[in-house]
Amino acid sequence: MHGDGTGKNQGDDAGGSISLVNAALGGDRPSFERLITIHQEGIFRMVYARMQSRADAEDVVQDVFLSAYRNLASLREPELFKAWLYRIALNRVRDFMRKRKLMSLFGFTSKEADEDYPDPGPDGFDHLAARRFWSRINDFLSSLPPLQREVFRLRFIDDLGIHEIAVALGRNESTVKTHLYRALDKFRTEGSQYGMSPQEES
Amino acid sequence: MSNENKSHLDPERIIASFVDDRGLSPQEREHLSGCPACTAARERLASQLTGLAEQAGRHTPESFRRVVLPAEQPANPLAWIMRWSMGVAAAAATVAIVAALMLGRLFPGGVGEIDQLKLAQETVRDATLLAEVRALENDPLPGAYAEIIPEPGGSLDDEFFDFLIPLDADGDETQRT
Repeated sequence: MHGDGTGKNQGDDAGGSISLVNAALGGDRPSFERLITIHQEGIFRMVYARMQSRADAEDVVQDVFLSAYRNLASLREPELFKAWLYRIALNRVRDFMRKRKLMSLFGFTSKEADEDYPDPGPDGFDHLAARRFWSRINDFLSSLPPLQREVFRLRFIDDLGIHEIAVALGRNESTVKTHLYRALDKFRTEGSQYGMSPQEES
Repeated sequence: MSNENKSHLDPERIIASFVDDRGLSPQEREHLSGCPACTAARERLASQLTGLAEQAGRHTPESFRRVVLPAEQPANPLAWIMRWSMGVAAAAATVAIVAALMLGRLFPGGVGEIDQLKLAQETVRDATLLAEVRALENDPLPGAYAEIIPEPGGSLDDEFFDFLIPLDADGDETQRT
């Protein structure tokens, strides 16, 4: 999935997607709807990984695609549509988190993540496994500085290439690589503390 | 790197190769491609990280909501008229605002000052009217009559009275009866 880690998957938008983006840029609504179908799952997963609430993530995903539809004319390079979409999503998540923090100051709380699994199955194993996974990954990510955390997430949870991450974060590729290197080094040395069993040495 | 053990890439170099294999020197790249131990170490790291994305996908709930775009507005043939009339209304409103602002600049005191000016104008008109009324009280006839009617309070000359009541030779008034 990640290849050699150098972002070779940045060509995910090649071929059909680019022609769809070009058609959408020309005002073709069905093409944009097709792009939604292609990217909705990835954007939802990306948003959910940061918010841990299905209902909130669905709201944000709706907002992301609406914003993309309205601002499509500002997209200069059709081949970077996916990275551009993730950039919008990152901004929307940040806005939502700020609002959530503000609401929590006044005693309003969001839905608990547990409610996202109303039917955990007879033994509740899936439910438990999901809770444990997100708990471990979030504990590890919390130990990273913000930019390393975001680069690590975009690369290994959201499966973006280096170039796409650079576009999504508005940074240059060298900066992204530096932060990715540091985050990976921490994953190697401290990941086991968070139950992620990284390799220790070659 | 002549010794095979020493030539193994250390963990930092394995990570560096994972971030960007162009960051490795040609010798390191050559070693990595030919050393089963280093390749295996790199693959282990890759599989662990790949596993993260797979687990994240597996433990993300399904989204039930379909993204909905705003409904397309049907083309309205009268839309340009609406736009035109809206433009005119906006222009009129702008002119009204500019006029109000200019009035405000001419009369920094605001509406109160305008009222005072109107009051002063009415006072002047009232004074003019009263002057005309007083003039009519003193002389109600038009000016043309002034030539045949003596001025009010003016004295009639003796010649006129002599014409009306001629005197006799003694200077007494003639008896009409």
